[in-house]
Amino acid sequence: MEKLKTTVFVKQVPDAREIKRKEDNTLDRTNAENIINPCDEYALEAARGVENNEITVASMGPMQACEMLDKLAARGAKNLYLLSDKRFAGSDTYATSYVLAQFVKKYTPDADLILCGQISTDGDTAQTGPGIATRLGYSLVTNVLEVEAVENGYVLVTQKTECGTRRVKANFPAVVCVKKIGREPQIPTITETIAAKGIKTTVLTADDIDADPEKIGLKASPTRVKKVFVPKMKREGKIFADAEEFAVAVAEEIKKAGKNA
Amino acid sequence: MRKIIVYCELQNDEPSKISLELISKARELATDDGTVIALIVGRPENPQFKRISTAGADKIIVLNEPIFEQYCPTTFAEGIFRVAENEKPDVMLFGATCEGRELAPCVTTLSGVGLTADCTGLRFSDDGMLEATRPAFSGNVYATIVYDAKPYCATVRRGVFAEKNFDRKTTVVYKNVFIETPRNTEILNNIPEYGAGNEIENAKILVAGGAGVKNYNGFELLKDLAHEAGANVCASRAATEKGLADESLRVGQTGKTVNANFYLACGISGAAQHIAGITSCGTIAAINTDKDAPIFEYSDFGYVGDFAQIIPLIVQKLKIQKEKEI
Repeated sequence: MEKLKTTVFVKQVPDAREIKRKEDNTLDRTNAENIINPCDEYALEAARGVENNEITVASMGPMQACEMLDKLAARGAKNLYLLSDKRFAGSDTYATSYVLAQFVKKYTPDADLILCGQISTDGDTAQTGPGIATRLGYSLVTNVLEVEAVENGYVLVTQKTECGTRRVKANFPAVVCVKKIGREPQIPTITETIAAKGIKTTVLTADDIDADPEKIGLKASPTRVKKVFVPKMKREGKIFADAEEFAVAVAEEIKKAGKNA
Repeated sequence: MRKIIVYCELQNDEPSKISLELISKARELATDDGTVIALIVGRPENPQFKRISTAGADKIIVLNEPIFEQYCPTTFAEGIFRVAENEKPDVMLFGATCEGRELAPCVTTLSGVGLTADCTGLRFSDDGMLEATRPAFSGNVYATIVYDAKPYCATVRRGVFAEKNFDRKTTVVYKNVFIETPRNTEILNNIPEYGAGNEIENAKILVAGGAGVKNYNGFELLKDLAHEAGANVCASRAATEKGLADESLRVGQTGKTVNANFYLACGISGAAQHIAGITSCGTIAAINTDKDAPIFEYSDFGYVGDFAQIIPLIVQKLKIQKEKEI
């Protein structure tokens, strides 16, 4: 088939494994390095696995994300863009999907495939990909476990469902949200490293993508966090002295828990 | 008067359990004089209208045109959006399932409103705003989300609300809606997986083992209890790292977040990273040989001793319980 054009969206997130809860129940992020969101890494890897594929990688975030993006040139990205603008700050998934859809319209309108991660570890909403597909009127498949084949006019993927998996054909242009694929991200080959030479990230602002200032940032976000609280952690901790009594109490709880559907 | 639409997802051509749970929750949120609409898209063979009615719906809308013969997020979202445009609900709820989490953001993007993902709590504030609560940062904190426009939309986790029985008069309406976009995906085949849907995230009862379980035989004991209790077995990081349990059973910050009604922690010391994964469980009980183990602080009740001696005792009590019922 002809050359495929793919846009991959990635996000920089704090490494969730390194976020600790402090004594006062606030979150300690000091040891949490910024990493590429794990699902996004699989999305890029899926793009890299398709032959004859021209890959553009884009991210929205602060300027520090440039460093992360630059490194992705050696992993198959031919064009790199960072959407960075103070006016984007505070965007929820609704406003973010507007920004990313605007980017596609302006910079990669001929992309056959838009790949993104299923979910980000810092937001956990899984809403941005479907938002982009809807705004662009592209087909959509989420929870993808493998990009199996790319044919003329469509992509064939394996999708996770509630009761197993299924194979889905999505017409181009398609938005595919990748959860995980069968192989771990590969280190760059020598050819890829050489090809990456000189490819640098281009920074774009809201004006560059013709974003309507009314549709971006906190004010354009229809949801707001009213409060953040720590769930009830400590409990009664009643210690039974008698093993028999404890066993009866556990059996009672099991009976109750099984009934409470 | 409040109007709430619940997207009634079908599974094997029947309303899914989460949909029925949400209809009951919607009934409660709408109060007696409000309206709860269950929206079905597709052509189910066994729609179980009676059960949807009993769960608390006043009206069942079915979009059963040929275009909805097969699921496709684009066409389904447009159908749901058309109904919402027409009905102007205050609230729209979807199950936080693979399908619900795919469809809901498409619908809300078309409607131009916000969406809260994977909620574990829903309530109306005194000023009539919906407040949706959801875990954030792997359950380390919870966030309460509010919206600036109606309909207030949310996807809701399974098993958080119970399906209840109501006595409502329910009407069924078959509706035709105009769908602009043709179907742009095709499902080629479904590959059911043994044990799918039976993951620890969905379990009502969990028997968890930690480093204190020590060996394979110890985990066999936990499995015996799980079998008797209709529970799933899960593990702490220490146990999975020792190879005593599979990675997929790991609970905690580096594993899964669970929300069982009852969680029994055996030989788990209670490291913060493990606790982060279990805080939304209903009741927590612990067995540990160390009376100073932090797990006791995070449990509702506990016993200081060897799990290997207590587990058979619990199994025995469960058997007695069952005999009594017969």
